[in-house]
Amino acid sequence: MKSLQNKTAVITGGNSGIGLATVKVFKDRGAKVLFTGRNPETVAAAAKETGTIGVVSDQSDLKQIEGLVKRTSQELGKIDILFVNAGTIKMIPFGQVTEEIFDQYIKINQKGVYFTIQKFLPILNDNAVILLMSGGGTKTLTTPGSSLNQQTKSAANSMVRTLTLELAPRGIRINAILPSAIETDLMKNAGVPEETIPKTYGKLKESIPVKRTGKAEDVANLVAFLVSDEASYINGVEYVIDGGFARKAVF
Amino acid sequence: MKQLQNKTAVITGGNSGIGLATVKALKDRGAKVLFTGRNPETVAAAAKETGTIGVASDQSDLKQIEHLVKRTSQELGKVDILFINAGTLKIIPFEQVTEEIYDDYISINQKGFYFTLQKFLPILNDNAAVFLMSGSGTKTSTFLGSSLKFQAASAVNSMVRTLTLELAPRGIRINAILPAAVETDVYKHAGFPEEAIPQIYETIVAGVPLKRVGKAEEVANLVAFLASDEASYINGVEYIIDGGLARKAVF
Repeated sequence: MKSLQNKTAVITGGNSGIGLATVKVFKDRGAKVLFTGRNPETVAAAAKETGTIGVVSDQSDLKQIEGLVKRTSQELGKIDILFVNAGTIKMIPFGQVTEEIFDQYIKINQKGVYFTIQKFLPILNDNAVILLMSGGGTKTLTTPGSSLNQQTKSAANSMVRTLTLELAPRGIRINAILPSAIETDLMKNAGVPEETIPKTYGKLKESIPVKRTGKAEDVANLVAFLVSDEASYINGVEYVIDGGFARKAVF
Repeated sequence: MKQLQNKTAVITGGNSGIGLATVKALKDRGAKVLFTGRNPETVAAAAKETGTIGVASDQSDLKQIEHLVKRTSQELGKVDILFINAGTLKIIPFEQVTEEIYDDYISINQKGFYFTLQKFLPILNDNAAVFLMSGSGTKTSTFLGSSLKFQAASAVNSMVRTLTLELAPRGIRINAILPAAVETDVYKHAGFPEEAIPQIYETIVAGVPLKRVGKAEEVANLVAFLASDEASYINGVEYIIDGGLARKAVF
């Protein structure tokens, strides 16, 4: 039997990067998968490519989250696995962050995560597993311009610490994944000029002990393990996956 | 193909508890396993039960470590997975720790880890995976009388942080496993009266959000996953497995 046979899974932000890789891995291991994304074209393309259910939904809008829960309930019934993965990234110097930028960023990357979990609770099965996408930088080193990103990711980590206890009576596990140095479209989406990206990753590789950047599939494999029954005693923790990047020499 | 097909693995302290569960888990997944233990009778029994190679060896004695490496080389050739798991547990009030107790404890639980890894390096394959058994109390809460235990385990964690870089040129990964509230014979071995043990577990369970103690097999599942090629980007980290114990409410 496959490790996720007959499990139902929801992945937000499943139309690209780590989310899309996770959609594929879950599907391959026997789960019934529904994923979301904001862009209707890429959602439709990813649904077709993976043979899963794609739903256009914006996690910064509570009404859309409620619509998503209703739709999920119709499509899959109760849920065994919820991977709250959707998010944007904005690298911007601290001094340039306006109130508008701040509010907008927190809304999708922090408040959206909070209420996605809250609204999904009624349709989660007892003993379900929740995974939150966080970032390795919340535990280790950061980069200039990451004040918004790390602020929201740290808030996501806090949800693991607080909700472990509140969800325990239903046997629901909650954990966070903290990746760093993974090669996805994130940098392009963050506004880094496309021609400089290979150089950025090239430089990055030199400081990673395993001498390569991570692939979205590396993270998806960890997620798939953590949501399986094999990981049933892993709860309330934050797992870094970064090839050893956090152990970078300081001199 | 099985997940660990044709991999060679060494597990110290494989004659009971988490070590023995890991011997079984790695064997089931296709690995050729050699394990150690200090007690010749339990080593022989575990070898027979699991169909693996058992070697009586004491990790507090460098000469025995060197001999173990030679024997391993003859039996398995080069090694892909090294799980340094052997250790003792002594719960003893700080004021009662004599120099002799201290030296003896550090010798097996800290120095023994250090030199087991050092002496095995020549017969580790490039891209091998090394695991160190630590304890989640090094990151979270501790209990009375645990000053020796967590001193040694914290020193073990430091090896992950420092050796990630030194082993990186050979592509060797190193990670620590930090379990807590897992049911094994460790309390019996620590000198607790057998009739007191159910009470100890009852107290532990009260603090675990999942409301049960973990099974040795659950830790073994995590080790097996981390040893596999699926986890090839997980390096230099400390993974807690404790059912959420670290998130225990303070009030």
